[in-house]
Amino acid sequence: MFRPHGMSYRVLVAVIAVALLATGCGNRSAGQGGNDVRGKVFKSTAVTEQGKPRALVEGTVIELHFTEDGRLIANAGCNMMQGPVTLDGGKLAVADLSSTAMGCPSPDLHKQDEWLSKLLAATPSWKLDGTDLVVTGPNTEIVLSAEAPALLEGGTWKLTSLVQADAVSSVPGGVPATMQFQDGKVSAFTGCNNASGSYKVDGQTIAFDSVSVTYKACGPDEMAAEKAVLGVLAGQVKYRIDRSSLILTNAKGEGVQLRK
Amino acid sequence: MFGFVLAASVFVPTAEAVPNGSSASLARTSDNKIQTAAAAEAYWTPERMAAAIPADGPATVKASSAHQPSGRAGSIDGAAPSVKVQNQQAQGGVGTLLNESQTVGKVFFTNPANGLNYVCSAATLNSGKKKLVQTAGHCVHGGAGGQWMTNWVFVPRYRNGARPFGTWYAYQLTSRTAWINSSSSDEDMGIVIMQTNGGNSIVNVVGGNGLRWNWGYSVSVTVLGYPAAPPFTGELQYFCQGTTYNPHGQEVEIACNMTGGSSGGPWLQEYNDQNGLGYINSVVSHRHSNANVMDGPYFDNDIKSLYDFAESLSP
Repeated sequence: MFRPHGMSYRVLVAVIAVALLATGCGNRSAGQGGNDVRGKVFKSTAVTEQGKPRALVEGTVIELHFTEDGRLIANAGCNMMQGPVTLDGGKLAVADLSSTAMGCPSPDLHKQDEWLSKLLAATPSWKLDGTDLVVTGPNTEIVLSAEAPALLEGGTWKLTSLVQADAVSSVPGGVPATMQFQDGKVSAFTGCNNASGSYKVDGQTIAFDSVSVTYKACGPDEMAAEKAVLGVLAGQVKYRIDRSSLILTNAKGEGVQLRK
Repeated sequence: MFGFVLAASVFVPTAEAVPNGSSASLARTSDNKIQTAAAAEAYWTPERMAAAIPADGPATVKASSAHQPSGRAGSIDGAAPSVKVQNQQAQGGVGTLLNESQTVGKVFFTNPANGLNYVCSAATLNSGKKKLVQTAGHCVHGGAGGQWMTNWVFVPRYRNGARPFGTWYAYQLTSRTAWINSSSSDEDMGIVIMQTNGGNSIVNVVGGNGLRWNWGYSVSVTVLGYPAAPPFTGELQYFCQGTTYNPHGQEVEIACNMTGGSSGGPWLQEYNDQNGLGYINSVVSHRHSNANVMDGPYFDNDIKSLYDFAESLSP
């Protein structure tokens, strides 16, 4: 697990200061407790093996996601691997990596899964180079860049999921409902009707106000999407952005997820 | 020919096999033959067969602090098909060979995150509207920060390219919020609402398995699936049989060496290979470093809640 309290802040600062002095370089630091990578997703930009570039299977990248609750979720293009991770002393240690058991598009992808799994099992070292994460194992180095999460404002959010507390579904019939946030004005297409109103962000809450909706009737798929969208377009709604997903949840635990 | 079926009882050899566990075996086909796919035949050299470890007993591993079921045990019965189709299940299961199930099938889908195609396994699930298919959460959604899979189809009793009951398309995918938000392995469950095919609902055509939850961590199950990564081919149904136990969290584990492609395959209580039905009590979710055991989510109130949710959405 992450150990944010394992090292006092003062000691951490001292360690970083020593590291900076040692490297003489302000943006390059050996991996410490992992506070800089926690909650972030990194995607590979370069993979080197035995000093030479290693080509990944076409259409794939190496993805490392350090969750807030202390897990590493890793993906090499096919199966999801995950396990509790510690990042102390510049070492990336996954105690018990699990892997889902999907069938991959090609044997090469199964091999690539195994290759990443082996690398992670070998307790590679890690460091941050600017905002890049560099993971170095036996004969292998992966450079990964941090993925920037999507922004609430600007662009079009497309409806992907309808949430009812602990259960969630895809959008029936692929109804193309959308939401847009810009300068305090929200506009939405419910899959059937158009809605607009104002909003105000306060921490992890969005307060919607003065929402008006056109009044057309549509088929059951569209109405299901509409019910969910309008369910989060009123009053105080919790919001969270996870990578490219926007998660909106109302007081009843119902909500929607959208994607940019 | 029949005698050869018995003699041809095969198990996957592996030097690291767990001492008391069952290894994945070939399921016998409905025409009373063990699958003789070229690939399987090529794999099963006399040497490999001689080195095979027989599946002669349930796993006896017990977790030191086994979880107790929380909540009353629940059960929903399965249903035989109501629509007559040409492909009837052969009668008579023999010895350690099992008839494959027409309620179990191979799943094909695209992950929109990269446009690549993957395979999983799944099984029909009986309900009032007769349209549900049970699989793993990761076979319908990529988990935290991921997306719903697309082009999702289920092919019951797929074998070597044959699709005896046709190809069934998903209408709507469902999972646990804890899977899509956090990739929680304890909740790696998915239920798919299928479209009708030729005007028929899937459970009416191939039958639908029952469902059991809060049944305890130690139960006897038959695991069925389509492992595609070596040494398997993904072209036929394989099975493991054994007793589950609690390895960690709200999960069950069983000795079974199925590989990639088996994800979503049902863990059936009381599998009856005469009618292809059992009670789904977990699904293949993941493996850890030991390739000879696999884990699935423990079916508690969460699966019943998801089942009710999916059924409520079903047209």
